Amino acid sequence: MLTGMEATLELAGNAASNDPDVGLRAVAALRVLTEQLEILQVDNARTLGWTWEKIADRLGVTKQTVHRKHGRRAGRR
Amino acid sequence: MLERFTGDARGVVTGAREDALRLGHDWIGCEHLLLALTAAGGEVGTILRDLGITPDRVRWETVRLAGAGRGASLSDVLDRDALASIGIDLDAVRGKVEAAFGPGAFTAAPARRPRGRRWVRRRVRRARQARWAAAPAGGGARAAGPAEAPAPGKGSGAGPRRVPFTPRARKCLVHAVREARAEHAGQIGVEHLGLAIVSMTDGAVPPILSALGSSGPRLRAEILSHYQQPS
Repeated sequence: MLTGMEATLELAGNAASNDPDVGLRAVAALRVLTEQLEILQVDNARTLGWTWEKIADRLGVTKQTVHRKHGRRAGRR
Repeated sequence: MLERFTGDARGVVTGAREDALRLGHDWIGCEHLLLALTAAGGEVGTILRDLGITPDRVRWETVRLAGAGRGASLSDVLDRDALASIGIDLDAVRGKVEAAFGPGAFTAAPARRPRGRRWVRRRVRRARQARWAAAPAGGGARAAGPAEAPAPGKGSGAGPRRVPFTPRARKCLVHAVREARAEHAGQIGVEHLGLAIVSMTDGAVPPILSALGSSGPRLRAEILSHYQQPS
């Protein structure tokens, strides 16, 4: 029973690299996670008084992009 | 409508409400009923889980289709197994985030939340549901359309959160009554509710089931084979 379970786990581990189902799910989940971490960090930066310019610089995007994306939520502090 | 439901069947319905709240959703749909069903004790829940229709996976699929609402825990809504497959330990991320930003920081904050008056939000919700009906193949498209009229709503203030059933979820409950009647059962049990839920042909249930490698007819056959009663 235990060995069967181990085999399943191992199979899952091996399949991870080339099974599109697992791989694409991982990418989708990672995208959401990134998005949420960005919101958290941008809000925090704004609370600490960072300018949009500085935030955009660190994120590697334009000031307009970051303002359009987060301005309404994190705008007025 | 729920008077003739057994205690367990009612438990599924109240469970669906809790699941909806937990995901930050402001509606109870068939997907939440399915989610509660997979967590149910008894035979139907076991049948589903044995076929890989587990609460975690149904929750992740639901979120993939409908997104997560404000306040949903990211530990609940993100596909922990898929992230683990690329070496990301969601619990470790959660630990770091909460250590830095305090407990409760690891929750969903939708970037584009439909704002405005209640009817505007409702319209957004309906559009979302229409999209399910139109594309049952279920692409992971998250609501990325232009935000609806950003009328400066006042936010509906305090009061207990109203979480209504979607019309389709109501239909599902009606179908459960019919399933029971077809078997001349006096009460609507979890098996009848289960049959009604998996047999939905529109809405979120079919794409969720197919994403998990199953289908309504197959689950229906499985449930029926366990509950075959000599008549």
